[in-house]
Amino acid sequence: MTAPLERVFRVFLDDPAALRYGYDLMKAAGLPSGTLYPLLARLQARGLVASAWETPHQDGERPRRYYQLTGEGIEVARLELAQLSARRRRGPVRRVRAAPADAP
Amino acid sequence: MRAERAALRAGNYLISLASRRLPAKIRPDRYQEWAAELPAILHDPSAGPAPVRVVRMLAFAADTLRGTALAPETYRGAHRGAPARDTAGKSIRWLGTGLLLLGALLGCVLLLLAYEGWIIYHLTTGPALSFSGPFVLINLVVVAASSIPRWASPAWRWYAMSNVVVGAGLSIRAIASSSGWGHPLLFAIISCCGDAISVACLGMAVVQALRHTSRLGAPPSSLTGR
Repeated sequence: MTAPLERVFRVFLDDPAALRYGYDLMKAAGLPSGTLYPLLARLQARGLVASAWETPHQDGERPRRYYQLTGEGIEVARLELAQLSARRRRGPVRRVRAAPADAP
Repeated sequence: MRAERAALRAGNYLISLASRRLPAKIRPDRYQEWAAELPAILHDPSAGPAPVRVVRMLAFAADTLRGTALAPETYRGAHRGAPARDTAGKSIRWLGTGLLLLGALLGCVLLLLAYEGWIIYHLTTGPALSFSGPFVLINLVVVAASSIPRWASPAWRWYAMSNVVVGAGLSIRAIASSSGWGHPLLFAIISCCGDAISVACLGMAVVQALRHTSRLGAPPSSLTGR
């Protein structure tokens, strides 16, 4: 899992029921738009994220698109983040070399 | 508000360029989505003062363009994490374009500084009609242009008026010194008065610019209710 994807999953999982606009996600995840939108498009293509258009509250206001994790998305995000933190807890694998005196 | 509209137009233009790189089927959808974010960024009070918000809004549009330029196929849903083709070449082209734009911006700043230096040089070396005459004329044209409703800008008008006054003072002094008419001290005083009025006009230009910036910072009521 890439670092941007991890950040986006964490933001979504902070409140899975919340509707998130692209700009809000950018701010919360600290990602530029050129990274965030392709990432959201990929997640949407995999069915992990759903999007919909909001109804404008006033005349002249532009409708904005909001994003939300799907049920499958929530499961996948939780699983991926759990695996990632487990890997981090284990730490990097170190190769132990035998001392020259022990060598045959 | 004019600066706000101009910034929004620039952002919309960048976003239209970005959406042109996408397949025609999803183009209007994406354009609508990104265009709706521009005023939201521009009126986001948590994003800092008005100039910062303008920069953020333009950065949003420019980075969206970068995203679509580097991986347009992502938006079709076909791209599943594999690197886009010729990404390195595209990155180099983008870097080159960015450096060119930065160079152009630096060039403009240097040109402006050279212009101000040139004015100061003429102010300190003494009156010369060959300088002050065209200087006054050019700035009169700027004053006239800033009165046209389409380009109306109080800050620019005051700035150009300050230049007109200082140029007029210098011209009077230059004419007097070349013809030998009148007492030089009188014309030196007139020129100094011109400088003082010019400084006052410059102050007004700064005040107008600051007022304009504060107006830019106030979010319209249509967006505060979201």
